[in-house]
Amino acid sequence: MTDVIVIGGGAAGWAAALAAAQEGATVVLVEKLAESGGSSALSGGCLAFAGTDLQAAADIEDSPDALFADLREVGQDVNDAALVRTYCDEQLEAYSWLGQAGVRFSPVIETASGQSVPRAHTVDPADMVRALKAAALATGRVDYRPNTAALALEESADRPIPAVRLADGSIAEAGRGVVIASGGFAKNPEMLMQYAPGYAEAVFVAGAGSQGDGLRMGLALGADLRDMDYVKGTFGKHPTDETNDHSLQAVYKGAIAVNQDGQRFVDESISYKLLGDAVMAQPWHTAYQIMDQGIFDTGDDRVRILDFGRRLEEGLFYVGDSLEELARQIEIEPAVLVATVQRYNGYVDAGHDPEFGRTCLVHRHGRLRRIETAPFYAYPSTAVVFGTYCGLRIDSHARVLRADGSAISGLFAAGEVTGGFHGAAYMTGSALGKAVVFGRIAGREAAAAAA
Amino acid sequence: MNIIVLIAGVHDPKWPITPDSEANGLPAASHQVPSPFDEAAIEIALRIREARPDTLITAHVAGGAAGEKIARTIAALNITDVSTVELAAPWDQAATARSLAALCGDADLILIGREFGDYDDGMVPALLAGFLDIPLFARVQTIETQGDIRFTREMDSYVETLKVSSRLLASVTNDRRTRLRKPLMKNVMLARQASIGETVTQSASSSAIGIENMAPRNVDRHQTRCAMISGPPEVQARTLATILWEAR
Repeated sequence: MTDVIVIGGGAAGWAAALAAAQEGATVVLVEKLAESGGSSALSGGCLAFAGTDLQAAADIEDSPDALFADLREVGQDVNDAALVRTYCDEQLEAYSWLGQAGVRFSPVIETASGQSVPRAHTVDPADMVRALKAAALATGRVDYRPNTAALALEESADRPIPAVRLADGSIAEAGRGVVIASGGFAKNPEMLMQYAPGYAEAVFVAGAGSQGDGLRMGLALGADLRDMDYVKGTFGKHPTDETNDHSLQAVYKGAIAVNQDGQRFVDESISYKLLGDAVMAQPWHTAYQIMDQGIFDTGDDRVRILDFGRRLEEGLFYVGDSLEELARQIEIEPAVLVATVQRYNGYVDAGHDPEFGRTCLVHRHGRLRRIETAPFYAYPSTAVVFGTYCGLRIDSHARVLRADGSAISGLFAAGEVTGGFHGAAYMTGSALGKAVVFGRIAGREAAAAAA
Repeated sequence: MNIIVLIAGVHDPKWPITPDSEANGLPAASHQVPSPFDEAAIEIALRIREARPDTLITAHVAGGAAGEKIARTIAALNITDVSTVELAAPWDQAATARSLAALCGDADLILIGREFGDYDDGMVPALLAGFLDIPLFARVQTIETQGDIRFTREMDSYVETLKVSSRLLASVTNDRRTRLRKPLMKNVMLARQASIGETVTQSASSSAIGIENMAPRNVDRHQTRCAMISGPPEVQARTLATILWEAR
């Protein structure tokens, strides 16, 4: 009998497998698809870490406490303070641990959604999962089984740890613990309709395996759920482009968001999850990120969500030598768009936006910029649901909890299948960061559980 | 100016091809997208309309009901006159060209991708021009719309430009300078409710020969003597044409 069974081969699953193996446990990792990677490999590749050497090299002052404050603020205090505290206390170790596992970070640290200082540490996400997988397999203690779907968890009186029923009908048993790391439910239309009906017209980008399997398995054992009312999409996805799965965050560099009527509708500096809510309430569920050449030039081709140049090359931007010309291309009344931009520039000059209260580029960071230098750019943007950011309630040891707060014996969970960490909104890099930090905790705790 | 754009569509490469024995081994039509050549032809039509707002664009999409998804993609670009057309023998270039000719009416300009569902043969545009008895300008790459409308094609260091001054059929190839624009979401949503017509051409229905009834043509091969052709390109072309004509 193996010590630990991990269900799912995304970042959380491989982090759990590696951590458990490093503790000396034998591990079976089952992945229902032919290739592991999951939604993690499709993500933007940002991890929210605070106090790293990369930040220090860039003269960025940050700390776990500052990260805690930001995460709580972004989550509007709906999130579980204990989980957030655990993340903040563990994230620096996890960052070093990733480096030891062969994960390479870009030296560029950007400020993104919900961050009061630059702390988006960027990786190639598919490479990161591959590195974790390689490190886990190199321990010699991990038995990787692709094309192996877990269907259910089965409890019995004579077994302290749930057994895993696999699609071939066999039962797999673990001596120490089972870790659910099977991702969210962004590819399960029925669950989406149940939990996030407001996002029916959004774009969905997630691993094909994100079917809510782990949620279903946990629920069957009486697990509690957290944050189910806060499924949100990320603002900035081109509505009709199928080449780029990632959003574009020009608003965080100074662009404004206007709807098809040519009107701003939100403080553009807030979390892109809240921007996602806002854009879904607009006509046609679409807006345009409007900027000038000066803002365009602050794009960064090393950060996907800020790589304006590549999107321009791909023909995704509308470009006009004047705001009127730009407006005509995107079928907005030219005089309306000009008036909107002029009004906004006035707010920038005055240092006060009486309409929506925008005071900075992103989450209290960065001075606003006027939109004034031709050519002008428009990037069509809707919301994309990358992940569901809600699910099984866990504690700081990654144990799955029932509604009464008691832990389900031998059951751990990590990554997108869990709820409680994000709360009402989302900080860039906190989903992939959560997968790694809590995946590592889950693997470690499962390995250490009493046999 | 009245422009007709003829759209063939191709199988979306993002979907695996699952041959259907009941469809004579052809892939299922449910995952069709415009080909890069189709897209370039549409973009050229849109640029002409931008330069000359009185331009009317009509688009015909091959494939009958299976072409509806592509038709809505085109409708989302504010091309309101879009219909699908059933081709009885899409694997037969001559029959396809004959069917398409019946759709062209007296359009001033007919735009078509340089391949039209004919698996790299590129025969349909030439055959269509022949049936319509109008000039063909093949492999158009770019367009100028300032002043006169001019099509350009390039090969190595050669550039050839044609001023569009009379009825013409132009086959279009893909080029990054004529990459198809993205539709606005508003128009995508409106296109979902757009009325898509369906056309069945008489020549298409009368030329319906099932592929199962086809057999290799059993005729003697024509023989001609081997000859080296020399001289400037124009002379070589004329000499070759004469040889082929005499050997027909």
